[in-house]
Amino acid sequence: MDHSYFIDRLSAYHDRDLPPYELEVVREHLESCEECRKQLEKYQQLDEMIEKKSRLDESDYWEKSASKIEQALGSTATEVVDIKPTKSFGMVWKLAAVAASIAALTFISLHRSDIEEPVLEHMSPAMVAPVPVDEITGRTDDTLNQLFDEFDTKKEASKELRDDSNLKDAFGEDEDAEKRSLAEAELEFFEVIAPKKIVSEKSHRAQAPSFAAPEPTDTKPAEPQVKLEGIAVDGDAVRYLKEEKAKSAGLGEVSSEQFSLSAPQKVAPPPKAAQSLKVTAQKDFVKLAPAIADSLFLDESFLKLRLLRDQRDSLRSAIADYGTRRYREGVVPDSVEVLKPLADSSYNVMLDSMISTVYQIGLLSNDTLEINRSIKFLRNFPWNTTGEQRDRINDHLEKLRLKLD
Amino acid sequence: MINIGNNREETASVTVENKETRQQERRLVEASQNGDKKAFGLLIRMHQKRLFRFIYGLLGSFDMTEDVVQDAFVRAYKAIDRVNPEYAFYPWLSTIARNLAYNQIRKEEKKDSLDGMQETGFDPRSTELGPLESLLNDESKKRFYEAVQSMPVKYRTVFALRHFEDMDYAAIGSYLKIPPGTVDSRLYRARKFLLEQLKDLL
Repeated sequence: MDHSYFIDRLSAYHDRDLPPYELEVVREHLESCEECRKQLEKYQQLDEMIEKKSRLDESDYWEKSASKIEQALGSTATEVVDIKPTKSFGMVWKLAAVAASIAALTFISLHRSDIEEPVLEHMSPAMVAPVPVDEITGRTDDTLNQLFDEFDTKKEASKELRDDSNLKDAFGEDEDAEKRSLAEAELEFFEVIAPKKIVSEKSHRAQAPSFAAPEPTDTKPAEPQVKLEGIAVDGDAVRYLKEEKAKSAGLGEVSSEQFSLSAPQKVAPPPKAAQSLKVTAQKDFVKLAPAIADSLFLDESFLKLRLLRDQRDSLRSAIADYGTRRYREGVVPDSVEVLKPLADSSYNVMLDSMISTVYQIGLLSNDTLEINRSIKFLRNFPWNTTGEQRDRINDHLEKLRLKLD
Repeated sequence: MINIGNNREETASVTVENKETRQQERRLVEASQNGDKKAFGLLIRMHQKRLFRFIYGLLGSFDMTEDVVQDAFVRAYKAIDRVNPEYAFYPWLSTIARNLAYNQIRKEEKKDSLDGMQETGFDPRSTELGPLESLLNDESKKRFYEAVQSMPVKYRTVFALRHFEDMDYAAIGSYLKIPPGTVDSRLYRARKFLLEQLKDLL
């Protein structure tokens, strides 16, 4: 790309109002081009000059004008006024509302099965006629539940076995070498492979590879299948999980009123037979992380960080993709002009979650470099933000810097 | 690291200042909602200069600006019940004023195109500031406003929205009903023009 291209883009670069890929290209060029750097500096000086020179000075005019306006306020009765500039503008919004509802209906009909499925699972068996059967294993939830208990026992057993073997190792005994290596392989599955599977597989009934354990079983559920649908807070999820575990272990009934759950669950608490781990959307991963980690005795923040990083990367490409298309095609094609408000709001939602994701990475991480990178990213947030988002970014920055100190 | 430190101080001082004025503003808005005209009078005095500067940037005419600013405050007062005191007052006020100014801009743009104005090149318009001069005590400020004044309206509006209201290209584009790419090129030309005209003031 030649120099004149960059000279033209510098004004927009100065406002950080370029698509991310162009921002990057211009930034690279600036490192090597003296002339462009000087031009950019001029824009900065111009900004300062405009701010200084545009300020209107004190004059008795202001007081006169203010009293004039006060007089014009007239009666103290307040009324609703239409502040929209033109009538056709209102029409656009009405059209947008209609388009939005059409879009919503289309979305619902397209994803009907996705949406309806969890609703069914919220209901007690009495409300759902057939007993739920796992699509993969063909087992009913009762048999799954047994396997869930087995899983827990097995996991504990292999842990003990390994510790035991280590102990024997220390005393020079190595008769259980084969047993021990099997136990270690199993543990690796429980602690490393299984959590990965939970995250990567959309299917909520994951299958585990067969164990090299004494029992001649062919397929098993990969990990504790626990119902977590509709739980909003991490803490709740963990508590819920523990209580469900206690229940299935026969440690007594726990009243569902003791912890807050979503409405349908309060009305009909899920039977322990209906335990299933459901990962529906990526944002749910973060919510689920503590519960998964807890059930597998993993370091919670480690897993959460990894999920957050994944989320950050996919958000980054989604936002960049949207921004590029928007920039290239001049906002949106005419045919979908009415959908623009909808597109804008989803763009803002993506930015919102990007801000909080990067902030959480900075908060959770113990790596100075990573915290610094989060700070840098938030400070030079490469997309346009609303005032509210800016405020939040500033707030986050302050907290991250405090942490760094 | 030094950079980060500087930024922190900046952010901290800005936040403190913002918090104080925000609280003050919130009390005034609440009082105005209870029918306190004096409180609203204070809100007028708080914001009229900034609003005037912005609308003048859009319209480039003292008389029209005066009318729009006055009208905007009156409308804001009538609709004050709809304001959430938790949010800043100015953005709402400036939206009212901006929408009032919109029809004037449309008229001006039509006039401009009738005059056969081209996208390139600047029209040597009247640079008389008129009553605005009484609000500018400094010679360099007068020169600045003369330069702004002499820009054709299509460049001036983009310039004012970007520099006085800090709107991004997409927002400016949807307000003026032009694609963001056009916002970009108009702003580029406006800046180029100002840099040439006011080189010595930098």
